[in-house]
Amino acid sequence: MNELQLFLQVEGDRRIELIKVPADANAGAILAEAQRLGFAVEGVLIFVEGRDEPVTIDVVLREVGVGHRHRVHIHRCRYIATVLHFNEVTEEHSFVPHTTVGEVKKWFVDKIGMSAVDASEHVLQLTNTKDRPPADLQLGSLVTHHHCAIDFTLVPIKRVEG
Amino acid sequence: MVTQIAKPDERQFRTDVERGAFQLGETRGSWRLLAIAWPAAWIEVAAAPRPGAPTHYALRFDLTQYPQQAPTARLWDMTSQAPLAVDNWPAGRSRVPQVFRTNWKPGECLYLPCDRLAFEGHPDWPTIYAGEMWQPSFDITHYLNQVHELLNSSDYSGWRRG
Repeated sequence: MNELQLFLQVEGDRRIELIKVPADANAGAILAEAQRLGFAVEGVLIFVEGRDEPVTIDVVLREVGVGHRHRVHIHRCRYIATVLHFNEVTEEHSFVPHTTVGEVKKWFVDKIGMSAVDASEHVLQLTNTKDRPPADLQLGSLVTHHHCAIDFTLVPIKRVEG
Repeated sequence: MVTQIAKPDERQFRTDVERGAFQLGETRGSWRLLAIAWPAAWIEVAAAPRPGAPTHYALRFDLTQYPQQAPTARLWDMTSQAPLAVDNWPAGRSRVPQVFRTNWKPGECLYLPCDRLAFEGHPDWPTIYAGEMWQPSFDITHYLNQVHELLNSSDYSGWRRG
């Protein structure tokens, strides 16, 4: 395979872009593609699937385990301070920006001891909104640099009535 | 020779299924595009393993005026190219049977706030289900995420004849 297709998510933007880079590309190729798509790349960190530490632009992607159709993320925040509420319980944790909303929910329900059955009937909602980001969305896509923080409430999924 | 030029709704849908959000779902095995015969499209959605039940359910979408108008979809039997027999519909305790309703518009659509047909006659839904409603800025993954969540919830118990 001469090229890698990668799913790119960017700071503060919910779109998921499918980009193509040469199979032997380094991480700088991700920035070049992001820039070509019109995203700002100044001062961003590059995150790749399976690694919590950002990678440097000169690292060869395949040497850090990046494969075809893996996910990558660029963001200026190193961590996102996340506050999670459920009823009277509040927990806080810092996640790397390429953590998905689904992974954040899993961390929280494990932390508060909610059963898997009950957990599947709840969803994370941005606190004080009606916005329930999809489980596959990466946290950094909801957050911008000047406010490396996010606040969720775990709410029950409503049965459709009416 | 007459050249068929796709209308804007079809062009937008074909663009969206090539984009990252839809392709990520395909890569993760959440759904798969089966066919397009405008304004119809067939997409199968993965379901959690249940004894004797299928691993996927096919939906036939009507995407007229997509994405300005919401999609509508019904369960479909790809072998017989007909609506799926009720015995083979997904079953569950609460949320699943409420979405896959047999007693309302006899199976012509899923009873979801984001479904065009289901929304008719429910003026209160945008208030109650603000996060689930369709917006013209959305793409087909908004609908698919809701179906996928349902078929992978603890509420889903397999199929009706199981």
